[in-house]
Amino acid sequence: MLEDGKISNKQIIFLIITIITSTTILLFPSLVYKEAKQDSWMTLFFLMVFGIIVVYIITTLGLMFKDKTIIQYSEIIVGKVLGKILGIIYFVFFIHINAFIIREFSELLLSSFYPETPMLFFAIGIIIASTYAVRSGIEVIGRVSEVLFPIFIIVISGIVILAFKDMNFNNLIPILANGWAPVLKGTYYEFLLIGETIVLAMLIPYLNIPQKVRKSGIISIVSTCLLGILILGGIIAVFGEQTGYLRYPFLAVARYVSVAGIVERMDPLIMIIWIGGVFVKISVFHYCAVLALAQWLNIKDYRPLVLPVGGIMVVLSVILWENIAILSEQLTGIVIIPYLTIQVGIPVLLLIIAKLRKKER
Amino acid sequence: MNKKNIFVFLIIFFAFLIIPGCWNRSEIEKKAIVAGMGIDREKDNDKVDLTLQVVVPRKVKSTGEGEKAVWIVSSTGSSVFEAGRNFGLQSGRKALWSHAQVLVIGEEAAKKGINEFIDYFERDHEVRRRICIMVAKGDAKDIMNANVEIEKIPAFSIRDLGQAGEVTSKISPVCLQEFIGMISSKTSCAYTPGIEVFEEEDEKENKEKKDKRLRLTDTAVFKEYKLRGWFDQYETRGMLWIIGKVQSGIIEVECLKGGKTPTSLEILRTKSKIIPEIKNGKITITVEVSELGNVGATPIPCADLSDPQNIKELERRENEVIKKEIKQTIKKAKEFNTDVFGFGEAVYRKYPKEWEELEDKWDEIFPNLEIIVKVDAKIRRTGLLSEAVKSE
Repeated sequence: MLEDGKISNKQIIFLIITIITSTTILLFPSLVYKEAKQDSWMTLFFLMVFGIIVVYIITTLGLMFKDKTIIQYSEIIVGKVLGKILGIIYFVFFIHINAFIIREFSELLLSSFYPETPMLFFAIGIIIASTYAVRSGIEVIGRVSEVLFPIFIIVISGIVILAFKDMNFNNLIPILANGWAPVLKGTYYEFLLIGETIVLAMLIPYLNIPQKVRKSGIISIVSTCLLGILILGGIIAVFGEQTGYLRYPFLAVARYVSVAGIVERMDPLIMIIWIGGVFVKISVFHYCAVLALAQWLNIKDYRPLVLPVGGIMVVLSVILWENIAILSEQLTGIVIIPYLTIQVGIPVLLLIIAKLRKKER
Repeated sequence: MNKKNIFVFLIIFFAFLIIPGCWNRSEIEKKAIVAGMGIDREKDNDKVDLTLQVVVPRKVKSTGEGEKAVWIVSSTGSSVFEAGRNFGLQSGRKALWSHAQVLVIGEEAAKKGINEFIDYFERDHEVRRRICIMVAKGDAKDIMNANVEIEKIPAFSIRDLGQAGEVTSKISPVCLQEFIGMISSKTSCAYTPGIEVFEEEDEKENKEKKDKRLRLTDTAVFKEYKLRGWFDQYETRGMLWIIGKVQSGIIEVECLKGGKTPTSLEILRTKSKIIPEIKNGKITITVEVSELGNVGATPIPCADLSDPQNIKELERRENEVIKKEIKQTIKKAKEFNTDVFGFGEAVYRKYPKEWEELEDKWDEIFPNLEIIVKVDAKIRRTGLLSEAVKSE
């Protein structure tokens, strides 16, 4: 076995919430607002439904092969050659999405906190931390998320609560002024976030009690969406029309908070949860990429692969996108279809084929 | 094993949180901390004149009398950004904007348009969205140079002046965030308090020496990033009545016994509601204002205030006064064609479908809008006296 560690179902809930929320609060609020305007928060209800379906598919598939990851069971389902092709697709996907995350994360730090530090510095820094975590195994990542999760939730909800007095709920009216179409389009952008639950397909074999994974998955999707409603609703109530052109609206909310002139300038807190949350996210995807490669190559130990794969991610994160405009354009454009195919499309196909084969037998 | 791992990991993690800041670390004593800034535009060549109040830490603690703890510097550039950097030529230090409290824009600069200033201050990561924004009557430079006794750092007392709004409601402080919120709406217009320098003779010392002081006055009204005109203090309160921002203040009504001295009523609590209605393609807007007040002072002799009939009469007069203020403001706003009240947005909220057509025509609709004003003023108490001394 490549990995001896086990994570609990509680930890998987924390992991998924952190994974999805940490980037939801970066670029997404303003991207979604551009489409759905004041109804942005409603997109999360659709997202919840979609997320539950995705979890259902991935866990059904995963539970058919309890001790195998998607890389391994795809070979069983569709045969050796096709399975290997799927495996390499997943490996590339994990690397690409992680490059995306590293870039988003460095861009945020660069534009709001350290304007003159070279970008490479952040990318390398977080990858060193994540390399350490990945080498220590999934158990460590799980426990770290257990430590960081309470801070994460307290800071996010704290900021929303403190901003309450600056909220103008008129900004949320009129509801559904332009019908459902913009809301659905906004939801479409968010699909790739919820699709990140694909990491479940890699992690199910390492759960304490795999049977409970469906319940944990659904709990995490529902709580992520509720948290998202809180964040998006809060942002729009504070900023209204401005949400659309602020690059990082949630950061702006944190900066704007002022209670009695004493509780002010909360942006360092945002930095802590962002670095914390994004770190968990990056190390989970890093882990998945490394594990996928190791299983694809059939090696006994994945540890030698950790650093090289990390290096590739760092390089890609710097060279793939010229500037932040291209980055956010891709996020709402060309990556959605390929990502969704990998995150949802392929598992659905695998599930159908697996079910058919079972019947044949 | 695992516990140790997590511990090592957390150390790496927190180190990473702090270390990137060392890349281009800057020591606080090498920074020029800006407390307030004034922006003017030069008349002939459109250059930006930036006047900064830079805190001099050495003087903040010293007890030298009347000594200001700021250094007032002006620098010029083709944009605020450049002028800010040019400031370094004089100081050798880079300006640090994060503690700036006020942004004063000169009248001329405001008339020419302030979009680029706003863009810069919003884009820059150091400037806070809580910074107070004001328009100077005259040059912003004079405001920055004026004399303020209470605080060592004049910019801080300029910020505090804004709070005077809470007592009089003749002025309403606006921070950058609120300003942008108003100005980014397609139909609404923004306002900021005005600030002016006035001269007062110093009676004790010599009458030659004139003391330049600051006060808030009037309200600057913007139309699409350009200063359109001024509301005077009563019109300002008229505007605040409509948008529901009157917090406190005095309303003067004619005394029940007549005479020159008015009876003063204190405003305690107010509420307002803007109700748009579209009937047969015609828009009417109803403004409902309700107010709760006290009798604050009344000339002697005065009518018996323990008589409910008299209170009712006072309420009626108060209604008239408030209504007059509001109507005067609406008239002026229509004259300027500036929808500072957010009527357009109120229509949008209630009639999103119809709004699509109205939005582009709002500039033509607003000046001819039918506005119904309903005021409901109530007097609850008469202070510690039930009737004035010597009342009949």
